[in-house]
Amino acid sequence: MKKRIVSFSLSILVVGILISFTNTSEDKSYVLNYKNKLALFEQNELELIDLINKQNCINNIEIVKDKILQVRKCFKGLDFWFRYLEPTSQKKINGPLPVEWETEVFEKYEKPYKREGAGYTLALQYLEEEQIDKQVLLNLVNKSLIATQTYKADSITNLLKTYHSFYLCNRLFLLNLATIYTSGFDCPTKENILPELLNMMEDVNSIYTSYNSSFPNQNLPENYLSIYKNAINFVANEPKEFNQFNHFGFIKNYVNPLFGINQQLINLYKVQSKSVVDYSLTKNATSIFSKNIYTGQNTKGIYLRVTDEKALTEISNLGKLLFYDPILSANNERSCASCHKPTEFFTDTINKTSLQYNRTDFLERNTPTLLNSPYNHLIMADGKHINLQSQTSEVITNEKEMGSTEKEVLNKILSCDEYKNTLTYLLTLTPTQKEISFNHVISAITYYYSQFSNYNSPFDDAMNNQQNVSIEVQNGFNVFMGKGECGTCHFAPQFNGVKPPYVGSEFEVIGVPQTLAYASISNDKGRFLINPATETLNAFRTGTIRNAAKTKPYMHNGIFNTLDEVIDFYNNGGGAGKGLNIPNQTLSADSLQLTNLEKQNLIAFIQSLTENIPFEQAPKKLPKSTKKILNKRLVGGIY
Amino acid sequence: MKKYVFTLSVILSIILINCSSNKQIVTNKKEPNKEVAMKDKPLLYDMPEDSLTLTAEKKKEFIASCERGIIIYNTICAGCHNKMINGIAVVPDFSLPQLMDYEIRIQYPSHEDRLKDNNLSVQELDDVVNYLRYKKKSGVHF
Repeated sequence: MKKRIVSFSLSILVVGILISFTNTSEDKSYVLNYKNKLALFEQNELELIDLINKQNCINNIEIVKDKILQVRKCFKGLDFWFRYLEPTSQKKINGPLPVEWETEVFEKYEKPYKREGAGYTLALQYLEEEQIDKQVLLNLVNKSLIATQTYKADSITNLLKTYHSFYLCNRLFLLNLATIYTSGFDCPTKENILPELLNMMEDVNSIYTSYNSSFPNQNLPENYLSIYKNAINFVANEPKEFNQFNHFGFIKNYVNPLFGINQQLINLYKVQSKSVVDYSLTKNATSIFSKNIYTGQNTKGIYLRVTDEKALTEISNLGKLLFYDPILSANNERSCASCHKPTEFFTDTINKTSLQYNRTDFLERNTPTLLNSPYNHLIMADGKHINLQSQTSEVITNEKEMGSTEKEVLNKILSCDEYKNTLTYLLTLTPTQKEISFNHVISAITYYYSQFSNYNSPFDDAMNNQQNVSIEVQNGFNVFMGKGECGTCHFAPQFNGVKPPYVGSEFEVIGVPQTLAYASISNDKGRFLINPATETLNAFRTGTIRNAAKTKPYMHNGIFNTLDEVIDFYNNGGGAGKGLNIPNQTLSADSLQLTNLEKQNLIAFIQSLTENIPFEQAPKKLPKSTKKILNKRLVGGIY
Repeated sequence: MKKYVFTLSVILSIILINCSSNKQIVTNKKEPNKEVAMKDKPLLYDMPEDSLTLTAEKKKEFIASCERGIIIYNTICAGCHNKMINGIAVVPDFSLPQLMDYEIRIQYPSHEDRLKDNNLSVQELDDVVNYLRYKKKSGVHF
């Protein structure tokens, strides 16, 4: 009897210990899912290397291609984590270009640095070549295999032990669904874009399941999971032909709502980031198509910490007067508004390039619109300036534009009582500054004009379910993201070269000609002037499509006067497509073969990006100066 | 006579308006943690190692940077970082690894909004780091 009691109590003890053990031990499903996927990916990479090695020469390309696609499938199931947790190594696994010059926002005041790409986008592209060198292919795969090892490090896997990185990975994943995963940016063979997308979305569903099992207290709620499952069904039921994919419906009805919920969860669970990947993204944006989704430029300049409404109005009023005041130029005849005409969407729609200060020659580059310039990390077509204030300063002091000096401008401005009084007040808002400086002047200007970049377009309103857009606009967006390949360089929501996670500005070589005769490429060296390298020759920063319908002429030299000409230029494969020798062109030289209807729809989409901006009247008069000669100046200047 | 009274009253009212707007400025400048912010402005710095070779111009620039650094530190850092020792707010000594470059903006959750580059510019971050790095040591570790 005693024995029975002892064994009974012992067994209860054992069961108790076991239960308590399972209760206290963590659920490892999420980390295990990562490790299993990683192991499978590595195994496939090794098999691919083996396959390439076994061949004397690459004569059966299809076998190699099939295996690469298999490796890509495994990789895409991991990209949810890879892109966020270690973006540099990710470029070695699926980089879009062999060499990229990076100038990320957190390091943009330093020299651009070179990043090499390798892996399975370049490998697939390489298989299209006529002559295949086994070693070149092996090199691309080996570099990827080495990069894969990075993802085994404790520094990476430890990040998976908290829920924080999950929601940040997921945010980037959703943004990429709206930009790169659906446009073919990271998949060079069009027929594989949708199958890869579907596989990836299913893999991410398994990530969600394992995450919810491991983190029940910070789980993805049912409403999120149900929209996500519908999104998978949507992709599964779309036509198999990539050019037919309904990007508009996919982003509007699925990706954007999912992003909104994920942002709510980031706030609800107080998700914290320790990664530079999140440097620019904000937590308060509720839609991908909100202007505040990422922080670009500090538009307030020296007044950056001023939040008081009354003070901001003072700065804005001062900025407005200065914007129209030719006092900024040496001859008191040119103002900001001379070229950035507020009535013409803050650009000059008449001249290809503006008149120089000397009134006889013309500048080399087209006047860019100031609208949405705050959403660039680098300013100007060549990315010369890292902030708006230094660009403003250069225009004022450049002998070809306004020909003045900082000192002269400040003296003239302070000779006007109205300016002096306002600036004296504003000085009190900048406690680190001992006296009124040129910086107080230019910061007011950048703050003033940047306010016009806060408005939405009908397309944004449609994405945010606030109004409908025509079927032509929707089809145009589908061409933009699909057959037209525009979305591979112009990323939502700004449709400029700033792609998720919005920490850098991209430059492209598209081969804009010097004249419409296409005798030569434009002799403007572009980014090369700032960062000389083979890849940067004739490269220009990718501009925004927003307001493009209102900001002609187009390209850095204003060579095209209509959107039709621009679309034809791209449709024909840029400069190289027209027969110019441009070895570093990043735009495919092949024709896009767009139909007339597709071109018209593209234009309808671009028109739907015209923002509802409340333009203002020019000031009626300018502040009086104690120097009589200055009082002859006219609002806006004379040329 | 009426004219004089009128002009006098205009001048008086202008002065009064000015005074009231000045008051407003003072309230604007007031930071929630001003009491904690340190009052003693150290005028001396342990100059960088190469200070012997610094030109007078560079030295002036360096000191100006540190002076700006103090003001910015007091505005956005002191509230959390200053230590109260015997009722006096002391600026602690930070170690070199703590005075990182842009990483400082993202490594700590409490910095997330405060140190975003639209609240603290690159130049200003340099100023604060210069100040904290070269200020005379207080002997209080962070």
